[in-house]
Amino acid sequence: MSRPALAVLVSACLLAAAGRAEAQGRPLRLQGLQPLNFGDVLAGVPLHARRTDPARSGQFELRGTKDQDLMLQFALPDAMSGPGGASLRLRFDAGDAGYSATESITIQQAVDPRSPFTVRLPTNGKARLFLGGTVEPTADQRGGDYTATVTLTVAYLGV
Amino acid sequence: MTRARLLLLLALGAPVPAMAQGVIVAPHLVHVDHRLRSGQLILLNPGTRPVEVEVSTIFGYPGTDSAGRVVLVTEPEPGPDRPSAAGWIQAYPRRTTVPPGERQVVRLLARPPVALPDGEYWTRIVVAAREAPAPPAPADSAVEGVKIGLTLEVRTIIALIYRKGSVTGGVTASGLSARVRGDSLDFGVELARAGTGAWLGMLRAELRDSAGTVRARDSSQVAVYYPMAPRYRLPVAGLSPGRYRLRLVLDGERDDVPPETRLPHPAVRDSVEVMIP
Repeated sequence: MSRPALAVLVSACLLAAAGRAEAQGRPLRLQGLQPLNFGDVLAGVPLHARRTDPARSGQFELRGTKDQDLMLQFALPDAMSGPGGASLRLRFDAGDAGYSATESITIQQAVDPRSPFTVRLPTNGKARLFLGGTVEPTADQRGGDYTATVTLTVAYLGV
Repeated sequence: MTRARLLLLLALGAPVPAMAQGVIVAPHLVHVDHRLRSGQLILLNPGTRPVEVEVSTIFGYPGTDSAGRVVLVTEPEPGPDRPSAAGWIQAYPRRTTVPPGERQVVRLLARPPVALPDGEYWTRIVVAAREAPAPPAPADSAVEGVKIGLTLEVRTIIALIYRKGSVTGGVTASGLSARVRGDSLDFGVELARAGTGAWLGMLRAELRDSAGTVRARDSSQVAVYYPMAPRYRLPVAGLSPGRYRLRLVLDGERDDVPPETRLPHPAVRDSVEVMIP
């Protein structure tokens, strides 16, 4: 077999394999729609961004196969790292996450973002997650860029 | 408000736009045969920025907690009695960057121990994805405030099943019990593998009245690796008081599991009488 023919054959095999992989139900898609946003915060004054706040809550869209059971787990930071080793405290409480099978911010089932929780995707395979939290700046909070990572783990429970 | 406080107004209203999304991972279940010793994943980045991906393995399986909720049980250091493939399934590439709108194939190669006994071996594949760091924004010396950037890392966990030789399927159901709680019928059942392979199937529940008419039904995908006792709910609001029968059927008919990898077995049935007050 010539090299070009072999290359075509390999490509065809890869495409066929990809098609088979995607044929096993709709693959899960988790998309961040909006970051958790605390708005203007005064130094020394804690601010709670509610999960039901359309402008401030973190919002995630889940798309998958209907009736699929999933385990979701946040790994949440308790502080953000800033300039010169400064940190900015973050707090997440028991009711700070919500799941909506209707994708509506006004119809949420409260969940504790500090523990794993399970959800079942609705018949259209689409749902949303909402996340709130509290930022606790100190009275002498240093200015600059603060960063932290929120990890969201999603695991299939039916396989 | 004091001047100092005004100056310390933290400009958190414009967070660094680092809300990443994960990659799409397909399939959600990979079967690897001992004769081929390889499988593959497809990663697709539907976003507009590159996504950094790292692929790893961990031994894990669905189980149930004390309340009957199905959870993912992970064992980072599984004992020798566990049929773990986590230590000898390797991803190539293990780390990669998927450009926006593109797909990446990750090959999963098995390097099992010599003289591996026939049977089924399991691992979970963890695909961790985070948006590649954006170039730093130019400094704005006029701004005294604070900017925050919450980066999202998405970890998608899928299953990998490795088979060598003959593997059998099947499931057993026992201890079916049910009781009404509020507007729901809460029922539980103890499930265990009847074969040498994990059982991947459907649990179908029907609540029939004394005339045999179905008044409520539900179905769930179930995976049984080790004995588990899941609990489920059926809505019973509005049903007339009286005797009903809850029927369960466990079968292997799942359209998300390729037919050629299903382990054939007869459906398992069970039922229990239920009183709706």
